[in-house]
Amino acid sequence: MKRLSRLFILLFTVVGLASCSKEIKFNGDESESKLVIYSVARAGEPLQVEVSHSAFFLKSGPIENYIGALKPDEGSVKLFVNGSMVPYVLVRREPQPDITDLPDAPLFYESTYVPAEGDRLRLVISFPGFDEASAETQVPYCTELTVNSVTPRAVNDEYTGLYHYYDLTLTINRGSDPSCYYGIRPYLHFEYTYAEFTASEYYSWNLESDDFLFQGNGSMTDQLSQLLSNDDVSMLFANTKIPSSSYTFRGSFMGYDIDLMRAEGATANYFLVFTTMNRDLYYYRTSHATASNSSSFSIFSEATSIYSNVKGGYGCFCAASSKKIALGL
Amino acid sequence: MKNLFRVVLTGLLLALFVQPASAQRRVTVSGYMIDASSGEPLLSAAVLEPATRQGAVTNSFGYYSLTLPAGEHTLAYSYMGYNTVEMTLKLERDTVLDVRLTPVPTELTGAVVTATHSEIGVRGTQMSAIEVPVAQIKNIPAIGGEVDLLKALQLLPGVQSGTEGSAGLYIRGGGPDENLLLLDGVPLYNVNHMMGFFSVFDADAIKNVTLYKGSFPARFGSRLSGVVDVRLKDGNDQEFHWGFSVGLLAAKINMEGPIVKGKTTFNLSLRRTYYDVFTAPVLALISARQTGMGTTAGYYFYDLSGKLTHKFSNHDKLYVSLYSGDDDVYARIRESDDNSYMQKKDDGTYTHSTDRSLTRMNLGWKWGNVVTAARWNHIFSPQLFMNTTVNYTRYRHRLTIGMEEQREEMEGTKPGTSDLYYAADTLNADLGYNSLISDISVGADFEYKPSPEHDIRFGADYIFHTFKPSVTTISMKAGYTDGVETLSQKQDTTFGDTNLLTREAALYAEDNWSLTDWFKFNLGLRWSHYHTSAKNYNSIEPRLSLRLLVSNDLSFKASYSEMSQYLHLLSNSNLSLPTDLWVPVTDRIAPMRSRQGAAGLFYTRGQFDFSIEGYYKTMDNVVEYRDGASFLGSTAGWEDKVAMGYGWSYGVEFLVQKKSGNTTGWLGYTWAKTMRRFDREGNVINFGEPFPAKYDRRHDLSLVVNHKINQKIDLSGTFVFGSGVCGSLAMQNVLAPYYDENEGFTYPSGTPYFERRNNYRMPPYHRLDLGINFHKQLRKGGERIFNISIYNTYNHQNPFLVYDSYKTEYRSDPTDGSVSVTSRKVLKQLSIFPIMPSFSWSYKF
Repeated sequence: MKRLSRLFILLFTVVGLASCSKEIKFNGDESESKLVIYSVARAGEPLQVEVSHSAFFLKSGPIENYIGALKPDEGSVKLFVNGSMVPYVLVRREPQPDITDLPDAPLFYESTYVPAEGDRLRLVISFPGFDEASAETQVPYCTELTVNSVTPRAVNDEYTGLYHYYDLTLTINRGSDPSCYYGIRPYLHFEYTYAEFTASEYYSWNLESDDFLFQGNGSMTDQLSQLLSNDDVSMLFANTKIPSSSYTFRGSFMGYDIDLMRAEGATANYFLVFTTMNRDLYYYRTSHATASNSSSFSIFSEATSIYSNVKGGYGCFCAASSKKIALGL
Repeated sequence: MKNLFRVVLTGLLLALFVQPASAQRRVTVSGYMIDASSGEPLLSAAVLEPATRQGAVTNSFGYYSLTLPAGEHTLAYSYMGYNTVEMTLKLERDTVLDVRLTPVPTELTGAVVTATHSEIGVRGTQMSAIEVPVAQIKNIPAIGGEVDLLKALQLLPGVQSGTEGSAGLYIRGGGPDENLLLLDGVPLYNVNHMMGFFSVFDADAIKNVTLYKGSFPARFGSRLSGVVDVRLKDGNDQEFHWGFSVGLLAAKINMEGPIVKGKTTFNLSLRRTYYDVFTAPVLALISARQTGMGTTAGYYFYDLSGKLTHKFSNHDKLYVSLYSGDDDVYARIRESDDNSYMQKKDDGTYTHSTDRSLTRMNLGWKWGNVVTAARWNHIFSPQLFMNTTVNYTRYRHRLTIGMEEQREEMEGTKPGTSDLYYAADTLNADLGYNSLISDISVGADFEYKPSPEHDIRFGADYIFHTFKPSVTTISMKAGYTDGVETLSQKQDTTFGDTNLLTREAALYAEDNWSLTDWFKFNLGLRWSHYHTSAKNYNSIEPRLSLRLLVSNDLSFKASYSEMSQYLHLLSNSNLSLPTDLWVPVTDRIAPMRSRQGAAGLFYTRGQFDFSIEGYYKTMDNVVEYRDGASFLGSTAGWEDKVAMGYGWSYGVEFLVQKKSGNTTGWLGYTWAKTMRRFDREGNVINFGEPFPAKYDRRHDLSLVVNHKINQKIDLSGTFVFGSGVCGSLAMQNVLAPYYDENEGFTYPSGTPYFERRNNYRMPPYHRLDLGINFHKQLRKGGERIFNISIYNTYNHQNPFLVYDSYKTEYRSDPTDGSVSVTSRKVLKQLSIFPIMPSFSWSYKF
């Protein structure tokens, strides 16, 4: 498929030889930069808010320079919980480890308020030179997921000895909030010590299920998943897809052979991260994954809008709660 | 809906069985109206009794039927561009009368858009329809010397083109897939050659073209937005004629004539581009000299159409038609490398090494149609005419990429030996992508004209569809040997090789009823049924159009029609390519449905015709690719890549035309708006918010002028202007973090941000084309036409694609001579067709 796309690019290059390309003036409204907010409210954890600003796509300068216009002393971040404002404290700016040449970093705000299930939250953020941005979300009520059994199964191909299948039997309770979504993702936490260094890493895998719960969407729960070819998707499904109040289903994933890793002297444990998320996070999650995956075929792919629920700005203010469930392997 | 159905059905039954009370005996005069010089039947020609203004028009086969009271009548037989024939007849019994009309010298063969026969124009019930004389199409400036039917239709109000390079017709908010393109009654699925530069229709083989933008008669169905009814010539039944033309891009030959005079005729046309004949060897030579690679590439297309007509008797005629056309893009690259070198080892000896490699790549990209049809006309009685059809149509698209690689490494103490090391590996990989749609259909259409007040049609058809939307085949074979051990691996995989078989059936009835001289209406009903393996769909489609004659020169018309469509064309919103997929409705993808209301005024004064029409149309279950989806990259089924939603379109169309004189032409203007919305659960695009359709074009203006200087020279020019079409452009960049269930929002990366789909409007499109024809009469009745045309005369670079890119700028510092390099983002536009002069010679004998 990559070769095919390169060939299409070659063909269009040939067409390009008979055509011409020129720089044109942007003929639309040059929209002003807006505030960009990202925050996920988790029940039981202090609320963090990351603030940056967008950059008009034709502005001079590297793409990373869309943070520097924000001065912490000049901005205002207000958090309302169930209609009442709560104080926020601690403003800090942290460099991003993967963007080494980033002169500035997004502003991080943290509140002492710890959200609880059912809380209605509202953020209002303003900075000089930008329109005021606001967003609302509600912390979802969690539901229960139980791991009934985990059975390793050998992989009989070239991956023998490195990977294993792990077959799970799970029981999920249908949540009280019909607008909720759930995500299940297996992780491997892996620690090893070499000389004086201790490394701690996480690996995540795709969980798949062919059970009735996901009928009509193919073997992956979210039909969007069928568009994606990377492994950046956890099992996502709506609360409304759970057919009964308590539903047992099977799932499996292929991950590193944990016994092999332990034999090498490492500490390794599998766990599931079970996330109850509201619709805002679900839309953001899936649209971001779609945008990331389709960029390699940009000219042949439909444009993807990344979800935003911020009025007067961009970004996502959403809520979720996660539980780590040890698989006991 | 049920009440509406009952009303329509009652109306039809009344029309069929209620006859005006009259004690006078009635007789029918019927027959064919024929071009006296060629023997071609004249379609939509008129026969009229001026005294009573009762008349009829010929059908698609040139047959007319007019029932009058017995007695003496004076009838006028007329057709645009022909001398009117008047006859006084004493009608005492049913009379068969074939009438031959002679063409008028060329004064009236200018750019006449609308024929003034009784169904389209001030007096007819048909609105939103235009009949385009082929002579007028041939006068429009030709690109590369090749006149094009679809380019001519795009100049009409209510019909828009897409971006440069897109020849599809966008009619009243509908996409190209929502148009029924008929060639002698058989549907064509892809009519584009050369990225839309040409269409498959050869103007020399065409007799008649009618475009319906709305107010669809009940005999048409299966599409939402437009019908283009193209009829091929039968062939001259008296003399053999032939002609050929040579232009910059293509050559063609046309032959027609009698096999048995007056009984059996044929018409054959062949057109082929020859660009590749010259460029492929030149490219191979240049490539070999400059790069050492063997490279050859080329592109061509061809069209072959033929028709055989046989008259068994005055009551029976048989027609057999054939069309075949293909576009073919090919490229072959051959690269070889041979390196030999000596290496000195530590012990002082030398070792000889040889590396050889050979790479061959083949690309083939082919798309095209095959159409065959057999039709039988039978006249049961002067009032009842029947046409039965059996036809086959197929559109196929195929992309193949093949690669062969051979590598060989040898290392030895002597040249050519492999004493120390030898390895060779080979790789053969073939990738194929195929898509196909084919139909086999049978149908019968009846025309019953019991009186001048009623023109009744009814019929049925049945279509057997086969779809193969997307088949990907991958074949790989790899081998390795080191002289001791040989390994090989082979893999053949096919995705999506599934035939989707569906059936479609339809019944229809309609009556064109003249209630009074000033009030006339067409009432019709169509029932269609679609069968898939999992689900059946039924659709009742009422059709109504009416005409109120305010005066002899002014009429008011209104119409309402419902249409259903059981096919979709999946098209990327950025580009229109031959790789666009035809797919059927399934149990998950429902049929599309449209409802369209229109009203307008039609006025004629002197040499000018005026019309103004407004319309409102809704479309349900329209299909578009979801965010991020592409026909490439995933083996997922197409049903999972698309979403269903709805759309609406409304607009006003204005047309003024001059029909006669040395200067003829028309001016058309359209203001229109087309929107889409996908907000159903599981079918959300753009987060459920409305967005403009990609071909939403607010303003569209076309000016066509033809001027005849004298018998030897005529000039033509067209000017078009259209607002920019829509596309998606990320106008902001944001830090959009990745969400991890374990870590939360983390590792933000710069991401282009699309606020909504189709948020950007490209720059406007405008173009001026000019042409001049020099006519010369040859000896023995032949004619030579030398044409010079200029496409895009002032070289305006119209947008095909708009994208952002980086531009590198170098600045030198005068103080120290250092050079700084900066990079900034710019918006770029890709244009395809610059100013293109061309010329051609045509000879007719």
